Amino acid sequence: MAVDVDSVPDSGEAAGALLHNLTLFTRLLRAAGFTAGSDDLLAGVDALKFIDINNRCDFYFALRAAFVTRREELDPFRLLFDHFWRVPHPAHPLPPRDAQGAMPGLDQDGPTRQGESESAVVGVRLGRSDEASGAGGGWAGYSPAERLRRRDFSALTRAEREAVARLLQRLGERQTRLRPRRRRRRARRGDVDWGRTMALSRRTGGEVTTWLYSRTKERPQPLLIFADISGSMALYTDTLLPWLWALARWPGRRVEVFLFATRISRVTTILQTREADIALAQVSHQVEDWAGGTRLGQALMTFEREWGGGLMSKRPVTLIISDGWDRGDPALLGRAVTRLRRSSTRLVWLNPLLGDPAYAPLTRGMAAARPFIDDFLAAHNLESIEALIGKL
Amino acid sequence: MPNESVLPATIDDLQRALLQHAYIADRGLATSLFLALKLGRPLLLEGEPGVGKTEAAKAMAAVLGGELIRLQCYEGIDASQALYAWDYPRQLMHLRYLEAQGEAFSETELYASRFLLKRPLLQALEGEDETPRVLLIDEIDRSDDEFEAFLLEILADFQITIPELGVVRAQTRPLVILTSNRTRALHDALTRRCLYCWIDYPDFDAELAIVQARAPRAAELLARQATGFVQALRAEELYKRPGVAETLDWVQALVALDQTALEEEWIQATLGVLLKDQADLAHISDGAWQGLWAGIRSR
Repeated sequence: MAVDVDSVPDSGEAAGALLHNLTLFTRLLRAAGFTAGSDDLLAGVDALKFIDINNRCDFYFALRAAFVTRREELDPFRLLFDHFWRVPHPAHPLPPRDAQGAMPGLDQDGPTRQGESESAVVGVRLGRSDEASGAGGGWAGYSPAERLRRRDFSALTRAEREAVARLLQRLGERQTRLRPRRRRRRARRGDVDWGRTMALSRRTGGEVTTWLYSRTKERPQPLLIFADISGSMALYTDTLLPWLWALARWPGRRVEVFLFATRISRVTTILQTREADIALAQVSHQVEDWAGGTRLGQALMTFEREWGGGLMSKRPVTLIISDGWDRGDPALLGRAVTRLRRSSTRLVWLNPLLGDPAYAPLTRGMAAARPFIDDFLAAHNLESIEALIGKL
Repeated sequence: MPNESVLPATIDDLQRALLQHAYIADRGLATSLFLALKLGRPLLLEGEPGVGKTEAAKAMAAVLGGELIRLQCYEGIDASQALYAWDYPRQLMHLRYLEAQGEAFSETELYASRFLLKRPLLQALEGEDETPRVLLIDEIDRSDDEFEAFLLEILADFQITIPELGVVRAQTRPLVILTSNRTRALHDALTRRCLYCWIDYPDFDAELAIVQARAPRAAELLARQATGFVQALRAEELYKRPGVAETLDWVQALVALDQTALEEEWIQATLGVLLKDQADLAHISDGAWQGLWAGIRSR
């Protein structure tokens, strides 16, 4: 599929060839996960009319302007461009992102990282199938459903896991049932509601006797969720994903979901896909390091820098799902959690290990974060998740 | 200066014209701006705070010799604040006046355009003359989804219908520049309508050029050292990295203090111009800056 840009002369036939190649290129981009459609192709073609396509630099930038729609696509685009058009990309006039974006300890291994661990979730799901089915057998006296409610997520059989996934999804949908908000509502104070004031004045023959007011109703605070997907937590978080999916679609409320281990990724948009199965499959594509170690402090710092501005000013309810096994610097974690707490309405920490009566939060990470947590709760079985109602 | 409104014919021309207005655009940004102009498509500019997204729109307006119409987005912004609203108090006064005069009135009179409050979007559509205007929709990520959908509609055909007055259609399409600080992801439908450009922090040479263009009073040595210092500062672990805007503020602050080169005591005293976050400030002023300073001085 490779094409040499320099060999495209200015004849009609060549223009046709260029169009053909652009079509192929669009297809390649789409296969790589870009949203590129025929609109973008047309924009690309249009764009090329105005530039000198023999100038590789301009050719590259013109196509980039037409096809790229967000920052995350910049690196993959450059790779695909190079691959397809077989020319070295123009010397990038700006320093590579790592020069200013990388942090010590966060190894940035370039744009190929998407999709590296595609089927990790599935692997986890299948891997832990039956060997644990004997555990938790001491629940005689409970109905099967009741037993399932109290069963630790790590001790589920494959069939139970599917049942739990469905239950969690429904549970989430129930917990998010909230009246849709109205943009403006009547109020005693606020802005004059001219429309209603005038309508009322008709009763008194056009004489305004009563002023009516309205104001914008406040939205509920955003919900901000950080879920740990490092090795020790992968199983729990994987089980909880259907629940997170339901929370992410909370009507009338802004919900943001981030998954972290050594790095942090925003998965809100993907989770908001209508079909749960598709959403969950895509999350596993997106996430860079399932089952690595944890560096919560650095992850939170990255979060605050990349996405924090608009979110933190709205005083979200913040939910962290992690067991607190942190390999990063405890001082950094302490600082990051302090900041998070200060700008949140409430900080809720869900720790699956709390399901174990013998557990004490002694790990360095947990000890650093514990003083700033408002609600420190278990999240190891259905019952504990049900109990969260009203805490979010 | 009507001559200035001639559209730049090539990317080079545009880059040079922007330079004349003290705006330094790299090739990628210049290409995007050029294409936005030629294709009549909106351009979405993203980048860290303070890299010159808003300035790009201002510079474009200066290059085109047209008006800059700015719509600052915020949470809860809606059509009546962005597009138009009827001036109810004035209508009421008008009615009272007619009543007092004992005159009859017709309803159409009440909905004349003099009772219309024109908000930025309508202003951008309405311009009579041929001068290209620049519509800057600033910090679109702060508005909410509903407003984004509404904006999408306007950007699709550059016309709106006011029920009482009729259709308003743009004679010449304004150059539309949207900026976002990425506090939330924008909807695909909107981003796909737009050309896209990410503005990164400039490298040393580019930033030095910006400093020299924007703060011409700064001594050469000061400009170099300050730029180098900020560049090094950005590599530190900070919550809020200083943008180009901060570099410029800092250089100007140092010029105001009659400095012609960086000096230790003044770095310490003016760090607050660069770092606007208490934790960052504490981290850097606790000694981290001396290492950076040593690096700069040894060059």
